[in-house]
Amino acid sequence: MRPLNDIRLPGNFDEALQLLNGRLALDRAPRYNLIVCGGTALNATGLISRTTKDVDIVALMDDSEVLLDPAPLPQPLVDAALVVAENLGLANDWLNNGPSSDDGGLFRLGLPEGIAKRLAWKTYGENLRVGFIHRFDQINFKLYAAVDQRGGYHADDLHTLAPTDDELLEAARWAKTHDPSDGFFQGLKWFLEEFGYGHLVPRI
Amino acid sequence: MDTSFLEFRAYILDRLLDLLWRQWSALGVPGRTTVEERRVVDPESLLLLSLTVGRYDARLFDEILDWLVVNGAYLNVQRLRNLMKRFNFQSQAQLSAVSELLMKKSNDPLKWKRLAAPRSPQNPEPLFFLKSGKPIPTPNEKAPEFSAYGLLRGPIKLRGHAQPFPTKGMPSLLLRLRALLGVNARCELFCLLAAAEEIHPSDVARQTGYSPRTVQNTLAEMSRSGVVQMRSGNREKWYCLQNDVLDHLLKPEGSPTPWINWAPLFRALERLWIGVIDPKRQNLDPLTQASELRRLGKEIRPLLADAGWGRQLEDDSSFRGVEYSAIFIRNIEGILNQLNQ
Repeated sequence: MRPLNDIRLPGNFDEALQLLNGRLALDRAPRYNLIVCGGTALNATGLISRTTKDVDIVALMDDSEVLLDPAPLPQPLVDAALVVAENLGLANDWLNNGPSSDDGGLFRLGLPEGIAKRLAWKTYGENLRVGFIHRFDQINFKLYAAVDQRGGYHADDLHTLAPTDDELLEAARWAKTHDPSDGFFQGLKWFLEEFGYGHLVPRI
Repeated sequence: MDTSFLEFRAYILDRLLDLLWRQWSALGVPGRTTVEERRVVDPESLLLLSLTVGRYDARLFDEILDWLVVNGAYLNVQRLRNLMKRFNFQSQAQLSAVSELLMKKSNDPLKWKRLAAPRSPQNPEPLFFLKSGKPIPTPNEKAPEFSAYGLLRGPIKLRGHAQPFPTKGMPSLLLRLRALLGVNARCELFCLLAAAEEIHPSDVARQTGYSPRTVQNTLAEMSRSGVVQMRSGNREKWYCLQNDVLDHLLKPEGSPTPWINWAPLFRALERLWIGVIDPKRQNLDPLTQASELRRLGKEIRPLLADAGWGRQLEDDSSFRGVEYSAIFIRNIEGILNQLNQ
């Protein structure tokens, strides 16, 4: 696990997470380890610099480094996040479990093997650590989301990440475990062909 | 610890103690005051705030005890209970201990017995603190009236210097009316009648701490005297004083005597003080500290509004993050300065 304490997050999310730690401490809440994906993680790990409107939690982790389902988010975390939103003028859902909020979400369908070992951590205080997912896992998530949503900004992110053929094939294999339907497979082929990776279609 | 927050805390305590000394001095407590109090003092609200903040000035605390022995007969015990309950003042243990003392020292022990809550000596703590917040060490010999409520202090040695409340001047108006009419709701009603062109019973109930029914019935009875006049309109009744009859007593300067709704204002100040000395609010980073001041502001804003001082505390939603700390401090300084003018 890599420490990442000198990285600045986009917008005022560093300030928000610092205040979130302070509020959790005041509320005598437990310590939370958040596993964050999406735009915030892309910025934090220096992969892509772009604006983002929220902090997406894909999983929680206990202090024994076991990944936990983030749905529902623990109430003390939700309460503290709402105070932060009010104090800093953020949207109420600035901190959310959108990617893993239900049975069709990433956590319950299964995260990529070894994701926890690849995290880069930033410590905000005694009550809050944030683990940002690795480029490899971003490629997995972005491919799955790009196929699922037929392109969109996920496709842009994936393009910017410039995955190698092997990385894309690995991501395709992982994505198919999430959705083994023929419809998804056809969508995957369409995406690869449309976005310049057609030479990989025979290998998926 | 953050120096500016410590300075703010010290400033609040100094200004609160200035206000308390000023009001008690106006009622006959011998002691320091630089500015003369000219407003009508609400002795019950004043006592409830003093029992919390006075823990940081042992001399003031004991001068108040001395004063209560001489003047306690003119305090309204039922109103004390009502205000304590309605506004959730945090001085119940101190009030119970004081009541135990007055049960021994006053001529009406039964009156004070009604105020004493069940004894609760668990988790004893020192009664008095230095201004820095450090507890004042207590001698081996303790005051049993306070120990019974978990408050540790040395034996009480009253100096016997307190004077009966003054028979002139606006600060003691309520006490003077009680001396004239008895300790009952009519005294507060006269103060409010003197403060406005006309009054509405529900507003009076809100401002005095009496029940709406008590206020309505009492005003109806008072109107039978001809001194208080009633006007009906839109199915509501409004009351006013007949011109000239009681002006010498109630409006000595000719104009209406402003009535301040002290109870919610003092509860706001008590909450402010307890809020800034809360151990969990010390040593916070600036962002979290601003968040806590924002929370404290939300707690006291409704009380200030109830007292008619709501506009003194600006809406925090207009200020982001740490910006709010300076606003809150400026607003509180403004309120305390205005109270001490």
